[in-house]
Amino acid sequence: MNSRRRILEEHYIRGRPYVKGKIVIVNPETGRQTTIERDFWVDTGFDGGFHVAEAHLSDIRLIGVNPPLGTVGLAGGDRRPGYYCYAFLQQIGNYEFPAPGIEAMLVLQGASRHGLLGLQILKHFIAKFDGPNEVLTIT
Amino acid sequence: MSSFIDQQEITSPQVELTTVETAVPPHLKIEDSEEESRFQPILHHEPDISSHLNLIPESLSTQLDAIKVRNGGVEAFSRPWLPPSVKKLLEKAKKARLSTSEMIRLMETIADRTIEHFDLPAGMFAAITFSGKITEVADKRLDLLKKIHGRKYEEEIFVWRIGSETFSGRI
Repeated sequence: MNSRRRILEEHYIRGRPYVKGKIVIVNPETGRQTTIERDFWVDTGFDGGFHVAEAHLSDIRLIGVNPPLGTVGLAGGDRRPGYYCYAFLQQIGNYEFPAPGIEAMLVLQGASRHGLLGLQILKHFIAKFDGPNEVLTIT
Repeated sequence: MSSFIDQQEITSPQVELTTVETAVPPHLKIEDSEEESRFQPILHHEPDISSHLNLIPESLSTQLDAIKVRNGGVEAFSRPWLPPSVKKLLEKAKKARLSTSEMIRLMETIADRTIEHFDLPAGMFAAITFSGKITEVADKRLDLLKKIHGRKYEEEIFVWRIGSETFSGRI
């Protein structure tokens, strides 16, 4: 008997599995927080939690959190500087997780309009990629 | 671990000394190999060198004091030596934005020196300052980020996976 809850079922967009996600970053000293809401491309080739454009860095710094620099490995073996931050996945699709959410690494690098959602989040779920029907199901 | 004796250059341009041998005036140079070996281990024992200074000839001890003062005290020996190329990039970063390749080269060089200096094991994750100090280490990426999250540091830090070229990214 399958007791797992269905969290999300989404059709691919332009042939790719996307989900809407809401990430929250909290300043542990002040309690101030900021959220990032984006469409995330589900990427099993990314070892982190979330990857968003570097432009979000200013919002995070506004709450007094200063993400450190690091190197990010891109496709093709290229390396770029990026920023790393401790964050929580608060919502995916219409499903909201119990507070504080699922902890994961947030990478801020580049300028892409869509984000990436990687293995650090996917490992918490069963993800089914139905290619012929272009449907992503997460339970 | 790098030895002070082996360093060819010192970051402070005013310092002319580069090795213990050149620091000892000719009339004080010890020819006897057994006595000479007294000087070698002393400078290998980082960071507390001050307790050994009474064993060293006065002229050398004065010169070492001068080096310590110019390099920020005894604590300087607890950091890896960083090459002039790194110092140049750090100076440039104060005035202008570094290019992608410059920033990566800077982090990589500092990380390599720091990892070698502190003999850190591959696979661990570290938060390192741009002067080569370790502020935090962890076995997992997320644990490191959690430890440093929200903390204020006097110097800017970067994160590094020991033994790897990237902290994260494509599998």
